[in-house]
Amino acid sequence: MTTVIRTARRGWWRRNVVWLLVLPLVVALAAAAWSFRFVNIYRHSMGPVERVDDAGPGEVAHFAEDYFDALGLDDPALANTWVHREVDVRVLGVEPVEQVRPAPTADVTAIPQGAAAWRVDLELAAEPGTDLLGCDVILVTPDGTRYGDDGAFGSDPLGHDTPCLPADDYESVAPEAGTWKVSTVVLTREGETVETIWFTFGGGRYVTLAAPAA
Amino acid sequence: MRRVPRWLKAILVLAGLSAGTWLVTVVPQIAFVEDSFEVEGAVGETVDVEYAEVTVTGVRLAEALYATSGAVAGGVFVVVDAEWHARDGHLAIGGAELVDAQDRSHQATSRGGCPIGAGADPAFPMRVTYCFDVSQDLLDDGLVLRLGRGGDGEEGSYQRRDAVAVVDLGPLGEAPVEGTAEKPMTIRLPGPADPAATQEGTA
Repeated sequence: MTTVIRTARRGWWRRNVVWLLVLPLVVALAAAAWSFRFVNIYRHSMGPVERVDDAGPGEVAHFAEDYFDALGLDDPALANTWVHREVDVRVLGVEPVEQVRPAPTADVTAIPQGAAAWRVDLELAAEPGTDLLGCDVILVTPDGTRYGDDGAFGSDPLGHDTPCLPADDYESVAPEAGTWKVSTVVLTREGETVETIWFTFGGGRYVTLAAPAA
Repeated sequence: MRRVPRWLKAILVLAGLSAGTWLVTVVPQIAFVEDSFEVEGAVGETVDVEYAEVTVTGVRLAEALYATSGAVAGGVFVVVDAEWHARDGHLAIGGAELVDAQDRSHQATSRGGCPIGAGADPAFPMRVTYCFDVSQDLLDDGLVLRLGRGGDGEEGSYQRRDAVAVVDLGPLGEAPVEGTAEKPMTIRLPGPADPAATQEGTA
């Protein structure tokens, strides 16, 4: 009887102190739960948003990410698993060119009026067998415009949809040599200068590389 | 501390609910926060929609057309030629609709292989032709074209809170019908506006 009277006299805050302490944790867990799709799916669908490395002129940028392999096209054993991917990138040169060599499926077969073409030479390194499908090379000009960023819906106008693959490679994985060089062409507006090169796989993460001095 | 009687708690809850109901009834609901930012223009005029410059270069009528296959209109095809030049990066440009005088929306059709969207590039202007199959009766009262980035969601759902180019096409009842069942109008697939930059002319 004495115990009942003491409990009744305790204030609301003291009676609920445990739940009040638990409440912030529950709110944090709830926020983490409802933000999963925003952080991991929607935010990354908006284009490159998370820079994972930044390299100066001639330096190597280290790209690393985990991606979900839904189909396991390169290795069926990896289907429906998270796969770790690391690629080192170095810019060897960015030079204007007067002619383009588009792929057979390209929308553009010559440099359109008002546009300019840039050849980008890259040196890449990755573990042999690393999946390279969907890599993208983006040229960024001083005003922040991103050229060659195909986005979630489009494809490259010159048909260079996987520009990080060696020219004679018919698979979408890193070659046995582990190190290779590629050249790709990106169109910009006429009169622009290239400030930065972005390398990405379209999943939201990217590395930036400063353009070599002219 | 004196306990609050239950009947008083019930009254407080009811009063709170009533106050909430009164608030959402009396205070005007701000429906326009979801509306697009409309930028008006005319045929042949370049419209700046922040993320791109868009120009409607021509409007034609056809009874039949051919892009990748033949199609005969249920009413009449309103064929709109447009050019898009993206500003900051690549764009998906699938938000095309016609609005008639009764404020009804007509989505672009993919019949005959007409494109219902394409990609716009910041390096050069892209040419896109949209086709709309509408009733002949709507032409006299005029049609308004709405073009925006993104998809062609119902009632412009993908263009909400974004800029949309609004181009008054005017009455089209007197316009000549160019494409017929015997000689369908040829629709060019999306490509660079500069014809010298592509071998893709007609499909």
